[in-house]
Amino acid sequence: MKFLIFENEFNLFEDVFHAFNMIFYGGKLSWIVKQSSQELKDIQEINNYDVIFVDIDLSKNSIKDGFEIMNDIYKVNSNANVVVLTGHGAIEKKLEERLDHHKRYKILNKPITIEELQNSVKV
Amino acid sequence: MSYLTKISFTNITSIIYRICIIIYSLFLVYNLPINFIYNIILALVYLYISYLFIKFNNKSKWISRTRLLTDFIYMFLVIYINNLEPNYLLYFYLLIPFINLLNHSSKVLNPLISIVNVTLPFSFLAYYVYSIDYIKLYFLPLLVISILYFLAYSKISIISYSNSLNSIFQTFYRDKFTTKSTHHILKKLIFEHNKSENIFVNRLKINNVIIFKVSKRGNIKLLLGSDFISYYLIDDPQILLDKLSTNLYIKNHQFIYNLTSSKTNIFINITVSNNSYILAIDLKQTFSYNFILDIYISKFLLPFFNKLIDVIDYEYSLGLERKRQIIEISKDLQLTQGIINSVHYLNNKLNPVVTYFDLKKNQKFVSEEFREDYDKLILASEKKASRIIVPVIQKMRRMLSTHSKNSLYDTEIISFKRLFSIIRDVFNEEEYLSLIVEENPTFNFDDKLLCNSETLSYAIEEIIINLSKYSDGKCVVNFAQYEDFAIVTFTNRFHNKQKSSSELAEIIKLFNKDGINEILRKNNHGLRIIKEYFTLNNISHNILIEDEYFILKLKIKKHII
Repeated sequence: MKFLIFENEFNLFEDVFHAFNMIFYGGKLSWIVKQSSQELKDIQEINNYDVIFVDIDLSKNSIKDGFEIMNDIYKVNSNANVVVLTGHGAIEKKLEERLDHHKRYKILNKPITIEELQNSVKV
Repeated sequence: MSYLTKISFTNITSIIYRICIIIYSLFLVYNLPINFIYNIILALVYLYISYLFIKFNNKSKWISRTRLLTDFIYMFLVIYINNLEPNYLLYFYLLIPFINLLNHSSKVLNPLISIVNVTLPFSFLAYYVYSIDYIKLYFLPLLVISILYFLAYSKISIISYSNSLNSIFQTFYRDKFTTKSTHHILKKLIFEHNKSENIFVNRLKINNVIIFKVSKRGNIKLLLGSDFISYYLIDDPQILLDKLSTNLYIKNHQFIYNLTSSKTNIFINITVSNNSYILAIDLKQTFSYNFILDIYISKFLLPFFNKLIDVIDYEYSLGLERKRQIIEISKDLQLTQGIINSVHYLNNKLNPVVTYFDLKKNQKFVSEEFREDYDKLILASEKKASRIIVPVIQKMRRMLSTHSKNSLYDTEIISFKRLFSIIRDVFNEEEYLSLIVEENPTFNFDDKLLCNSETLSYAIEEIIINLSKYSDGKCVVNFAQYEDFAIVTFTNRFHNKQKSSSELAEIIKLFNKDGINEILRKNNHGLRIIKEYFTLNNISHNILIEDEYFILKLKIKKHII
């Protein structure tokens, strides 16, 4: 199982991912973290991952925000498993407004717990 | 719609005019009864043709001229058939211009056209029916009548002009009144002014009217113009202001607007509520009769522009109020945004704390293989959590102190008059509760207090909402004067069916305590708001129940400068 994570403050969440890996995946889970949209050189790479986590508010250095990254992802793979990471409440309406097409995605509210993380990656 | 309702006042004027002609003709015929039956037939035919003209109600120029021609044919035939004495004929024709002074469209006819219209057929008749010498006899009365007619025409046309100026405001208030559309009044003014046929008004054709506001520092700033003004430059503005302070108006002060150089103009200064406005009227041609210009400006333009400046000044005040509200709203928006950012910040930064407890909670699910690594992870998470707590608390304190400075905490100095008007306005909005103010001649309403008028209004609104639930419909307000404070007392007879006496006594006890009790905070929103806002405004408050009277006393500190 491989995760692609767009998050600029991953150090605040990485312990949850490690614990989740130990409990549910026997240490076989791997992930790559991108702090900005431009760190992903080729958008086609998303097809190499099982789940893609996208933080809506990325760092100021990121050229694209989470909504734009999601639109890029769905252009390449409309069935991609995307989990939206957010510290804001009521993000659904904004997602409806900003996404080009209504797609399936899950929302993971910060702070994250192991149980919520597990629920978000269940296919 | 019935035919009668279609007949306008102007139609009636026209009908009366023709009836007058017939009556006069019959009067002449009665006095000189020649061919009586022919006269009756002639009158009936004329009456029927006139009826047809009115029925078709066509206002085209040609129909109007044909109608006038019919009138003259009828007059000619009456004279011709009856072979009238010249004197009768003279009186008859000389009166006609007055009868038909206001024509069917209630517009004033040009005196020259009107007199020629009426007298030309007369001259024609005088020549053919009588003799050419008679024209000499006719000339003198015609001259006198023409002068009288001209004066009457001038008076009516000036009244008509004045009415047209006044109707601009009526139309504006009825159809177009929205703020920022006042320039329509100026456009309409120029239109009505320039189309006036009054011989004097006609010589003062207007190009543009531009209104400036004089700032507190004495700068002249453009407010609006009848046309869109992109650029303006007034020569020696200070000299203009100085001259306007001692004169009703200033003529021909050079200024440029929209690359047009205005050399023939009138500047007028009007002051409303301490706000000074300057009107620049750019004229199409020069006008040199100062005496007449004085009358024109003082009797026509000033009353008109005074009304206009009232509207503009009102708009200006509304604009200031709107700006103030936008500042308040933006403060509130900043506060809301600050709260959103704070929540986002907390959700992110508190993650290690949540993770630490979550790891501990899930420890039991970890297999033996990862036990050691998992324990190390818990330790690492604990360190992160402990590291993050202090900065989070510090940041939240900073945010709290920043966002406490919002509009609810801003105070202003207001008079007790203003406080009274706040109370009165809130009561006026309440349908089922009337306010009775106990007169107290010793109370000085000019005394000042320091408060936030918005929160004070909210608190008073909450009082009224609560009173209207339990009151018998009347609330007596009393203002009592003390040296450095005032006591405002609200008294009303109340009925309480919802709460027991002990419950009510408990609530009142909580309300009268210093500080906001948590129970009051949870259970009684209205009283909590009242208490919170009074506390914010440093107003001591106390509720008493005496017999069946509910009494709320507010002790308000005076602001002594």
